[in-house]
Amino acid sequence: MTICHFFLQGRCRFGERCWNEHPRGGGRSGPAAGGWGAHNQRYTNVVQPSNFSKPTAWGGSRDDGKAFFGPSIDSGAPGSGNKSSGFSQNRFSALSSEQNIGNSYRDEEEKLLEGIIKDMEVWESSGQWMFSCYSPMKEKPNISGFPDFSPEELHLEYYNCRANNNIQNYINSVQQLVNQWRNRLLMLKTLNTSTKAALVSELKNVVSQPLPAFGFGGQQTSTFGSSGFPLSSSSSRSASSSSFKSNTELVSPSSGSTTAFGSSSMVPNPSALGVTSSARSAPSIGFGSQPASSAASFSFKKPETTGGFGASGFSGFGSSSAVNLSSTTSLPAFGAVNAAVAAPSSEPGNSLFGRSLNAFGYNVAPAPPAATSIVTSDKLFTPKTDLSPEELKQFEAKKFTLGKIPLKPPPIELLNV
Amino acid sequence: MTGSNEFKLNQPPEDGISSVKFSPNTSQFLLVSSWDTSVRLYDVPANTMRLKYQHSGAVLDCAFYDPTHAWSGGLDQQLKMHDLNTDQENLVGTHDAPIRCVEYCPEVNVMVTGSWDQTVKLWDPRTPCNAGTFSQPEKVYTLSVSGDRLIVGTAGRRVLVWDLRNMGYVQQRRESSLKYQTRCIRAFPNKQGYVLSSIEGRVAVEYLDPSPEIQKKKYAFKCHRLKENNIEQIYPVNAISFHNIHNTFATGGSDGFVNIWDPFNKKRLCQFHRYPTSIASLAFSNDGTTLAIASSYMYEMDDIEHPEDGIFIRQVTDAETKPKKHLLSQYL
Repeated sequence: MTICHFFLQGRCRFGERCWNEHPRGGGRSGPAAGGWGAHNQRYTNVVQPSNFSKPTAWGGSRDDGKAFFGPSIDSGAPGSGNKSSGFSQNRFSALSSEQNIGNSYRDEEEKLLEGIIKDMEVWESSGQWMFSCYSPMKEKPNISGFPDFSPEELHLEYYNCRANNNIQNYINSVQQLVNQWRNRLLMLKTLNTSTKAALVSELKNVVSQPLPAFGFGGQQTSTFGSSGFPLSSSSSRSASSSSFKSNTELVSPSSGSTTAFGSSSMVPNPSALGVTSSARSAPSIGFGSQPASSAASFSFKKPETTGGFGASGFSGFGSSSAVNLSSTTSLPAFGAVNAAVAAPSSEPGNSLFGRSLNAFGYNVAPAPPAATSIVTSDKLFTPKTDLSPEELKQFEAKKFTLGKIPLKPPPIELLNV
Repeated sequence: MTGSNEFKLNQPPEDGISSVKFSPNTSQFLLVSSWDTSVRLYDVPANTMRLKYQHSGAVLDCAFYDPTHAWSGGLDQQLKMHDLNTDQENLVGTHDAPIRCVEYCPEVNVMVTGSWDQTVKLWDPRTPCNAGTFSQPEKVYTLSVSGDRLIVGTAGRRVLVWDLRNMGYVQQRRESSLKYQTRCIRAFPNKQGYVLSSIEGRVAVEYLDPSPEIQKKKYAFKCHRLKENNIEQIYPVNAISFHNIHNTFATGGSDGFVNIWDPFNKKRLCQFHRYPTSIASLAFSNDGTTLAIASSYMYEMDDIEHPEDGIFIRQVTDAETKPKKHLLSQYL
């Protein structure tokens, strides 16, 4: 077939119907009025229908500001960017022009990974705030290894250290955080196979990765405690419990138990717990974190599925100490979880207690849980004798009263499984 | 640098400014909270400070309950209510970690506070006392009231919408459409949605109605980015404030610029001159005639020499704040 020279100029009126050949990967110069609809300004590569591979749902294009968010605006310019005309070819046009149609079939994952690399590059060069969580695309979970700190929190640490004449400490801690950030960033920028595999599985919400080596624990909300702001606890807060509260996800830096957590079998599908929340939430020390608040109501905190600490253990605990108010979690479900959670090993239970105790005093070495000479399963329930009459009444009532929900898990006797 | 329509307030706080709020019924009074642990009330036209009261730690947010009562909270974890007429103070309650946001909901008549202890607490302003504590999945970074709904932005890019009349469950759980940490959320005065800004020089306009046709209209745009030496510098967008009448909004970033945006036509209406340092907070007065701009270094780069913090009061005109074409069909 003869090659259509209008197509080579980018202005073939017949398009797909054209009797001449439209070579793939060739011929793009700025099309003016194209045969494919005047609005399709950036239409370049044509796709022979037979090669028409991945149509829609190509998130995360290179053009990060535009295709990602739909019609986007630049300051002052009229709404430009990709007009989603419904033509799948539009997505192609968003891709770089060098891309050959032949190679254009790409895994969505690959696109994601590319997007991540690009984002990392921009993050590094732009002077953007470093201590932020990151998600490569809408509806994807946050990538682990990037904890969230707001400028005010850092400012607070600075002030505390300054009050104790210990600015060096602050500088060191921030430096440490920066280094961790940089490492994680480099990891993501130079995606080697293991990081890639980890990322891909993470993005699919499948938990398989061990904790990243640098010990931040891959938690979204791990806090200062681990990176050594020890002074803040003593100086500004009165009760240690309140200071603990503000640093709930305390990552115990040095404990070997962390790896035990990371690799221990993760939570059975959270949806089994019957909680109706969205994707995932950060782990919380369900137990330890709310001792100080009286009659607080909790929402069920589902564990971070991406290699969080003892995720399985947490889920069990979380549900034991609180009833989700929104909730479809009922005690029988709790009972079921219990069985599932208790199954993996007795490790999670005991060490969890160790952790929460640990967190009360910042850099206390993870002590063997002194209080927990009892067997794992008991930690998921309280013996009836341990409950105050108020709490007992709550458990025995048909429904919890808002504001009076007990902080301790229910006694096993009251469960109807 | 400041034109005749703009002036700087006298007796500004001695340290960073965390929040500025105008009185609900007049543009005469401005409440300012600061890292110097004080909360100050300014008489704007007269350019004087009327009143000042102290906390024991930096104050991160303040709000008016009514023209005579100010509420504030901060790093000392205490929520205080101050009667501006009698200069009487009242410790209303505490959180377990610094209080990050304080807002008032007129429709339900509650004060709302959000804290880094991962809870939101409601307070009855009349008694005053605690009216409930509600767990959030993460530290609360920002919140905004829309009618009888509360929109909470937390760490980890989560956004929760609560119904203030029924706090038993979360009405909507969402994720921020932006990839990075949420910095500020403000609700549209017309209650149709909210604007969310991140640390990555980007702002998203979202709608509350969960139906797909409405959700399709949401979008995001880049802003507060500067090109230096051919590399784009990205600044966090720290502050958003809505013009009550036009439903347009102003954003302030760490680049020191204030932009005013028209969300319906998706255009930028105006950009003011560059301020000496990062914009920490913005507030439109209730009638939309005045904009308070807190230019205050936010320690994004540790303790360096920085220009003096200050509060600028600017009279804004319709030309700067009104949408150009009145496309009624675009208002939901």
